[in-house]
Amino acid sequence: MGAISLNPGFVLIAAAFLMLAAPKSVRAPLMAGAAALSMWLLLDNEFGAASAVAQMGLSVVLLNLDALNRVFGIGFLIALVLLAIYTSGRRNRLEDAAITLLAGGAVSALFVGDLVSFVAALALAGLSATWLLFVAPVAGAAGAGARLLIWHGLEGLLFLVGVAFHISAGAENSVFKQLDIASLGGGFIFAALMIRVGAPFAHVWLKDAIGHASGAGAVALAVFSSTLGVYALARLFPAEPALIFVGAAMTVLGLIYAAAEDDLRRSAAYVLTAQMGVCVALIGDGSPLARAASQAHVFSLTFAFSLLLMAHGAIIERHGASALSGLRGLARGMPVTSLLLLCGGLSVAGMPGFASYVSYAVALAAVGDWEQRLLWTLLIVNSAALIVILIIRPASVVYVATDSAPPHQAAIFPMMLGMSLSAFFCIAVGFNPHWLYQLMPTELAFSPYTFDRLAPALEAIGAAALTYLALRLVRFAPTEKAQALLDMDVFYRGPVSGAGRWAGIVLLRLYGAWQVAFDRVAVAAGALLARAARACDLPYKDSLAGAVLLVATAGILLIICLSWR
Amino acid sequence: MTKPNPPRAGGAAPMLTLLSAVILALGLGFDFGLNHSRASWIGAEPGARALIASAAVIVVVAAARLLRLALGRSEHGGGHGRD
Repeated sequence: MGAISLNPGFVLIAAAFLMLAAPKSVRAPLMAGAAALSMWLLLDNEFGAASAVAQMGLSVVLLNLDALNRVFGIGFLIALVLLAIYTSGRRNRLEDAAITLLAGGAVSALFVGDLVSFVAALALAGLSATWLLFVAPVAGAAGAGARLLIWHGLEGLLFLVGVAFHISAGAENSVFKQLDIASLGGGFIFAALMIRVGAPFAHVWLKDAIGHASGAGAVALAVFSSTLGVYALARLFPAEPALIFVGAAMTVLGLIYAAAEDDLRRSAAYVLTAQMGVCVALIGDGSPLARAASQAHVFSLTFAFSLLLMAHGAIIERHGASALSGLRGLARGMPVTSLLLLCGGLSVAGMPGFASYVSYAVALAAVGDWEQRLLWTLLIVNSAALIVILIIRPASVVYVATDSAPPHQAAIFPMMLGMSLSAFFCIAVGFNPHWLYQLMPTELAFSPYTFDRLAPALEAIGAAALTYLALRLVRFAPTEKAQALLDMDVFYRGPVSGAGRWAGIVLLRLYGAWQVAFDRVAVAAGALLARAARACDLPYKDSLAGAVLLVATAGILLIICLSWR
Repeated sequence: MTKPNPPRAGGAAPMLTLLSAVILALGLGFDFGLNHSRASWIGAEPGARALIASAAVIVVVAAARLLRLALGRSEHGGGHGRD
């Protein structure tokens, strides 16, 4: 029996529309079932292009399966099953549909084989991410949705222009192949992907969106948004040296902001930027091992961020906010969730025994040469800082002994189950790395648990933790207080935008005052001229001015006549 | 003028310190004990990662502190708030 040549993402898109009409009890099974069916379609097909048609002279390849998109697809679909379990306890029809549609757009984008279909799928994913924010029951979510719509609109525009330029060089260019950043089309597409991955100056959309989404929405945005950009970079711009610098900048920026942020979710969004930066830099490095490490790391982070953001969602569900300064003694009220929160932190930070350690070990091996020492140092810095940001700092707050601990309020069972299963995947892959290595496009025979790899990792973790605890003891480390940090979004939603608004009001008032003054001067000048004109109309009037005017006019005429030759 | 009280002892800090010290000791022990080969560069020397990690944490914490001073706004004050 032949395999069905259908893009797995299309099943999710169809399920999203069905979900709009489905009762609550059916929605979570429908989401999980659609993910399972997509997984079957993904695993049942052989590698290679299928479902290719010619449209207006362009090749439209709706299904192109290879090892690169398979590893991303498996990660996405497992994450969607985990999300289905996590969301099964709450009632939000529109958000369920938006999550499934976002996953559908992202998975469709993974498996198409041409640029036009890719742009369409990417735009669908972007629109559904926006929809996810519009339907989130969170204060300020609609505004964040509008801002995200602008970011995705800009990304789509750049992508479309790039694709148009690229295809104008020849219809055969519509299929996926490596692009040149120096070409006009390649440059526009690269710029669009920089927005998607959250490169510096465009990184704020991720923090803004995740910070305003619901618990489940934040997980979906983290898993299905910027990771798609990493996939596209791996597909279209492998071994592009500029990516090393972009990735390094993303990592440094993300780490510093994450360390300073008080809100756990915004901090997690910055950590996601930092980790995506690592993946982007590895793609830029370009060696087969570095590219395999990048893909493996995205796969590991899919589960790690699912767990971390699910834990944040569970905390918000009970406490209404995820600001670290308001979570002192949380572990007494939510012991299991607190444990899973730290488990998520360990997963993202790459603690031995967790999935991201086994991918990070490959990354360190890939950049271990003298020539790549800067990238190697960046990876060590990232790992050390994440230990502090995601483990030591939250643990120091949620496990602190307080007199006014919150009451015991465990998360609801479906949330617990979703988090526990995410933790299971993180640990299972961590202890069975060959499961992950077998999925890689490059065959990996790698042992992450040898002493020469484990010992340096342990000493870095221990040293980072002790250093931070010492800094905390001497009060050098920032204390937890309710604070929002200004970022690039200050230009459109912070004090700078407020100053711009005020400047506009002042300029309008100045313009009004100038208009009034001009009117007054014009009226006065008009009156003066009218008086002069009246005086001219009555030259024989019995007045001195009239006589003077008459004599002056006669004198001027006489001079003109005499000087005329 | 009163001196500010030291941070309250208790909670997770002692346990975290102990755990971190054990992990560091294990890592350093294995690194120095097993790394007999001549290192190709300073990053491959035994204990180098511990030093880099410590330095990285100091730099990141200092940068975060500066960032809060320069760009931090109270959530309840006149900052741009949550929206």
